[in-house]
Amino acid sequence: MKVKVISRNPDEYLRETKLDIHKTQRNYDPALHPFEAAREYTRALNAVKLEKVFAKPFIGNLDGHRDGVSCISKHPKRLTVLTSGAFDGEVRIWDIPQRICIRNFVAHDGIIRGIVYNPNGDHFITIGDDKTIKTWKSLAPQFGEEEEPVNTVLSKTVLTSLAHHRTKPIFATAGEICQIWEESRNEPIRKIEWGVDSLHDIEFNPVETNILASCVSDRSIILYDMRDKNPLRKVIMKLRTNKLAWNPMEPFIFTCANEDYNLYTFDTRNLKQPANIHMDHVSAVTFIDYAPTGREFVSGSYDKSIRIFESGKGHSREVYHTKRMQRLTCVHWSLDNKYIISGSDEMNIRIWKARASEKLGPLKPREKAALRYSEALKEKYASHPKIKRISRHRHVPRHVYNAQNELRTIKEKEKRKEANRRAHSKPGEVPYLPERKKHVLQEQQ
Amino acid sequence: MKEDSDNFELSDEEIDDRKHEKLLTDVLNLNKRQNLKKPSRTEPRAQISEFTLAKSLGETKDLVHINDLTRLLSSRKKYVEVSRKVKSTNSKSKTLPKPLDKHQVERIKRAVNYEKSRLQLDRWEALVTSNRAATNVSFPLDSIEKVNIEEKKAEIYPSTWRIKSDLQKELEKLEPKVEEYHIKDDEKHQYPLTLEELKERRKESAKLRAHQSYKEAKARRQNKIKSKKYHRIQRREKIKESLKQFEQLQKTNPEEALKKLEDIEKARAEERFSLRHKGTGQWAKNKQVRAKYDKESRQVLAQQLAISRDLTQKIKAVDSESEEEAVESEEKDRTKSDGTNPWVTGIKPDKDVIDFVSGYRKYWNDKNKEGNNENSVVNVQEADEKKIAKENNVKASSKNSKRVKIPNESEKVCPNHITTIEQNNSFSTSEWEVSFQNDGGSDIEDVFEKLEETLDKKLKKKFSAIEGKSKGKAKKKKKQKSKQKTISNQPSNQKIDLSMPSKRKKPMVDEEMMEQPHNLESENGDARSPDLIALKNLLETKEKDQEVPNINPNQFIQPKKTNLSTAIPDILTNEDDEEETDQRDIILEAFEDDDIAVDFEKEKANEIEKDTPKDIDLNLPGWGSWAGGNIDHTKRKRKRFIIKMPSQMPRKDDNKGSLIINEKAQAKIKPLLVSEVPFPFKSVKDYEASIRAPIGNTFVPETAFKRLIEPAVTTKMGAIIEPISKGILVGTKKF
Repeated sequence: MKVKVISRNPDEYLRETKLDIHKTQRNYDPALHPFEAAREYTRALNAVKLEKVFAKPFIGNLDGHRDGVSCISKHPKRLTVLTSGAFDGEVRIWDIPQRICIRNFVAHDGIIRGIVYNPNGDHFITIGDDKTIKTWKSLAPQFGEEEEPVNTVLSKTVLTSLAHHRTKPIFATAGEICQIWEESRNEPIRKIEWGVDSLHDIEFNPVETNILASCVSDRSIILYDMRDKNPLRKVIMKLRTNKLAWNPMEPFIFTCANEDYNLYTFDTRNLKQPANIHMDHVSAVTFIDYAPTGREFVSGSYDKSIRIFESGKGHSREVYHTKRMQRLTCVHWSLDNKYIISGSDEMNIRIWKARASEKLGPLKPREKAALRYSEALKEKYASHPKIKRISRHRHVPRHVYNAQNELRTIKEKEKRKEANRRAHSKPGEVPYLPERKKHVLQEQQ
Repeated sequence: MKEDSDNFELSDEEIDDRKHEKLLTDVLNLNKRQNLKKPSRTEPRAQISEFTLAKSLGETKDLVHINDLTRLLSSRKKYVEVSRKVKSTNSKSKTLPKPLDKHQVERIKRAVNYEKSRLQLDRWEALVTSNRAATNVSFPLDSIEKVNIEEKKAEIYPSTWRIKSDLQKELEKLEPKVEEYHIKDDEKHQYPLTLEELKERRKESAKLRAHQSYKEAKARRQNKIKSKKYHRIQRREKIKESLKQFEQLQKTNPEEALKKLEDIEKARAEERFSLRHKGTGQWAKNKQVRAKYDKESRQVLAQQLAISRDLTQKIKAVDSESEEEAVESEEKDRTKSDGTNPWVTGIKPDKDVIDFVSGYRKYWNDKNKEGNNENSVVNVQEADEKKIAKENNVKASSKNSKRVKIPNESEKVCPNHITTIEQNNSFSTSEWEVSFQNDGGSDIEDVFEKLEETLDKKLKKKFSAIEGKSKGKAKKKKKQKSKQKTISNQPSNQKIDLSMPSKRKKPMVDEEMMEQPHNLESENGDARSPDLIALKNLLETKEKDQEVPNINPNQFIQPKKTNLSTAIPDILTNEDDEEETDQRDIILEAFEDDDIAVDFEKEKANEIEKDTPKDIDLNLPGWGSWAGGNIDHTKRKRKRFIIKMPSQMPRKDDNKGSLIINEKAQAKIKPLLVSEVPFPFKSVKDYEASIRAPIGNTFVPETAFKRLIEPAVTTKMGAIIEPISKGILVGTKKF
């Protein structure tokens, strides 16, 4: 007699260890899984709603300063350390994960204008309104030792801003003129001047490290080469530029925060017009910092809000605000691309998540896959009205809302007026001017 | 005074020669020059202070001059040559030219430096664009960190030599041993530049300097040139250049061109109202004096005057000129010309000519129309004939002769279509044979395709002429190509596309966020008064009341049976036809008396009325009747409780007689639909395809799923992301 027995290879249905998930066979025939688009749409909708549920970006704040925070510096090698200076001349060093101040001392008489770490992070340099440049050790003094600067240099001119070269022991200060210093010398190794107006910000290019850019109070931006006595070029804008940041991944791109509520991204090789304009703030933008990936940047404004922009886009993707946060003085993006650190007028330093609804900490593989899937779905259905509405809906303070309305009416008015003028004048008399050409007055050689 | 004189007398007696001499020289030097010491350098500085500067002390006696040296050398025969050389260089040497203006020099330097740094930045272009386009990038970019970890052996080693006491050993046991490691810095081991690199660097800087000095020299030379001729030539060149630019601009950017034209006009106007070429200058006056006797000067003067006349003549723009002329001519012979053709107005044609032209045009038009019809007929004929030919296997040669005839006829008839038919001709003579011999397969389709293509081409040409954009053209060419490809592929059409769907093309949303204050909605809801909500509710209830279906067989129109061209089997058609016709007859009989058109209109009116919102009467029964019956309260008071509805937009079916459009049918799905094709997509089809392709692991295999959900940016937890490093660039130098 013949007995028929089902025989199967156990490799096909048995898992190797009991930690693995059970093996299942799946038939991907599309006829068996109908309504793909509709089902994925629903999933996308749920994902976007969940994103809103979990969007809690505020992590915590560091309080201890007795005056407004004037500047913040990130440690170049350690993610946990942060140094901040205040308007009363006090410097504080913070431990971010524990949210405590590990060290504090009064460094200058008057406002601290800038703090930078040297490339390996064992020293940091501060400048203040007392025209001194002080170098401090990163290590706290031993018991019984006094808090003293390693080196103090008296500058002949007022100092307003400070930037450090990425690799060499060279830093630059801005003030009446641009000065390049070496850490071991007491006199600047180079002074670069153009015009008589004072500078209020300076920034080293992190990649092409010889190039510097600074903002001038005659509403212009000047580019320098550290090796030359002469500057390179000057761009005059319609209103003053407050702060400038280089893109760390695209060496010829920099973005500047302007007094006219906008941010402008420039290509250094073509300064006639900005490559992009980023709108949305409703008051002067005071600070900007790029994410270390170069894909996004964060800006702080006088309108008491922080906005996150994607570098290619004209509008912000996120706005952060709290009731107690006042005018922003500085905003930084942490070096691991996860957090945003903001300092404001009302003495607090706040820590935010860079992506509002991101789950912190390590993820299990399945969790990660699920999150990535929902992320991909959100991207896929981004332009569907319902999903767009949910994902782009934000609550803002009333003053921002009102200011936006006001600005909108102003813009409409201008547009209408121009159209009227065009309609009632000779054709070609009132030209169509693209927005990008409206904001740069001149490029000077 | 007395004392002074006493002193004087005293000094007179015992005089010191040296002191006296010094006094004398001092007095003499008093008005001549200051006695300055030569500065001595104390500390190296980048900037030299202006206060320690002194005039050169060239004339003092102590200095050694080169002439003295050579004089000495000349005494020896061996060094005569050297001394001569020195003398010659002395005689040949010139004083250096005056340096350029400071601002000019600085500008040149800045320009040179900027160019240099720009070149430096340009190297990044390719990398940056590729990074931007990359579908997913993981940071930090060079993930392998080079950290040298070394045990602190050197510090541990000597301690092993010591003999430890028992107490020490005990203590060590208590304290856990801490392993200490050095993290070596690579940067400290970076070598300075090698000799070659140094040399190269120097070379580059020398090149830069040379570049700068060329520019300076050029500027200096140009500043110095006084020749009028040179400047004239230069001016002319400039004008030429600007004209060239202007012409280019006209093509590319008409707005800019207009601006430029204005500038040019302005310059001309300026020259016009200046007194140049007017014969008022000194030179002209001199020439005038001489002109009586000298022929040459007369000529020159005449030339000059001609130029001035040229300039002062008012130039009319080409368009305005023609317009003016047209106006004039029209005024002259308004009676004669009919004004239909703007091109002929200026010519004043005879009556015979006009008659002839109009007659001819009529004929032309008629013929054209005929030609169109006939041509299409002819095309069909051709196709038919081809079919026959294929079936019968007639020889190609005879076929050709036959075929040539027909287009000839058509050529006569319609000169408009010459081009297409010519193409047909060529096709019939050459390509026909080939296809015939090869397979004799789908020739007719080929012909039609060709025809279509030519037509397409024509249409597209026209379109592109209208648009006038080269970009558009290129695209169309591509499209055509792709079309041709698809056509050629048609026989082996059934290929299955196994490639992954293009992943990175995702809709991009770059808009303002919808930002609202925290409690706006609720507040507004409160602020807008409860009666509005009540109104809404009322409306809804009313609508609900009205929405009760009221089907009346009288208001029905029998729909015509339409044959839909679908692949879905039509169930109705499968039924027996006879039965159906019977039923229809019955129905027709039953409703014979009804006037269908009137019914329809009624229905439409009903529908419209249903959709228009009505005023709401909030008057309650019994109001105002407390005084008893027969008392009218005023209309005004009644009106107060009637809420008027705003007038509606005109309906879509207002002017479409036998049609009712239900505008509410889409209301539910409309807010869910995408209204515009989002950014990176160019057609609805593309976008739909991207939406249709699923990405979830319920629909696609795990591997594909993993690839499809990969995020654009991945970062490593807790890793510091350094800026991009120069090492990535290929072929860069160390400095």
